[in-house]
Amino acid sequence: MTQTQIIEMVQMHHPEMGDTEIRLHLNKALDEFCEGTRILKGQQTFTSRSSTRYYELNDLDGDSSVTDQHKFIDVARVDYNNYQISRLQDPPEKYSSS
Amino acid sequence: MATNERSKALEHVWWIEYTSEKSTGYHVPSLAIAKVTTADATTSFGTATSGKTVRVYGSVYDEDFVASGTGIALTEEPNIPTQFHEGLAHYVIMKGYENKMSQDPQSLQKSGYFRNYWELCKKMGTEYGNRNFDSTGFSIKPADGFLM
Repeated sequence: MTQTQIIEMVQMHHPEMGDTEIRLHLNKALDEFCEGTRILKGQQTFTSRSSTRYYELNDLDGDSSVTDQHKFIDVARVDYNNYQISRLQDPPEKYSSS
Repeated sequence: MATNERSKALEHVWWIEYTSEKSTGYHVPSLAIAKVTTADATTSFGTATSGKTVRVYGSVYDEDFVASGTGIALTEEPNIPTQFHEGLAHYVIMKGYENKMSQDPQSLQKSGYFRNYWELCKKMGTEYGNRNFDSTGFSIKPADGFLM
């Protein structure tokens, strides 16, 4: 169903509801559905940067735009230079200076 | 050569950590990648080598519904499977009846009706999400109590 079809279906029950209000609720529903079901799987590629340890999950490429990539709910696997790398359960106790 | 490349890549590890976002001070989930080196009794977690491709796999949110711009446009469909699109409408209908409760006492019943549909949709979505898409069958050959 397209967005317009969903909006029309809602307005059959609530003709007084505007498109903006419906979209607000639809986005909440879609987020709740994806979070609860983990139904959508995705992958995102970026390039490692020098002297960088942390990559914001919603802005992995570091271009300050969060709309050009997937929004992650959880991370299942990470490949570095095409090899699957291990996950640490907790952050290391001590980092080195570089 | 390939072995060297492999062993260098496998020196790296990842984990998830909440780090402070510079401009707002809020803590945001971040993917941390480190290169592990060990010398004598000391293990060091340094930053990863730059310029390498990193690929992250996981569960993701769908795009947002939008009137215009980046996202699910008016003529587009969400990326979740088609059978769950109606469930999204049921959620909004439920919310609409919840907002009318002070004016119409029957709205409570109506919102409950659509809440059931919404909950069922999420339940079926969870089953669908956990499904193994490779349904290729396999058989176990019976044996006479000893291994060949």
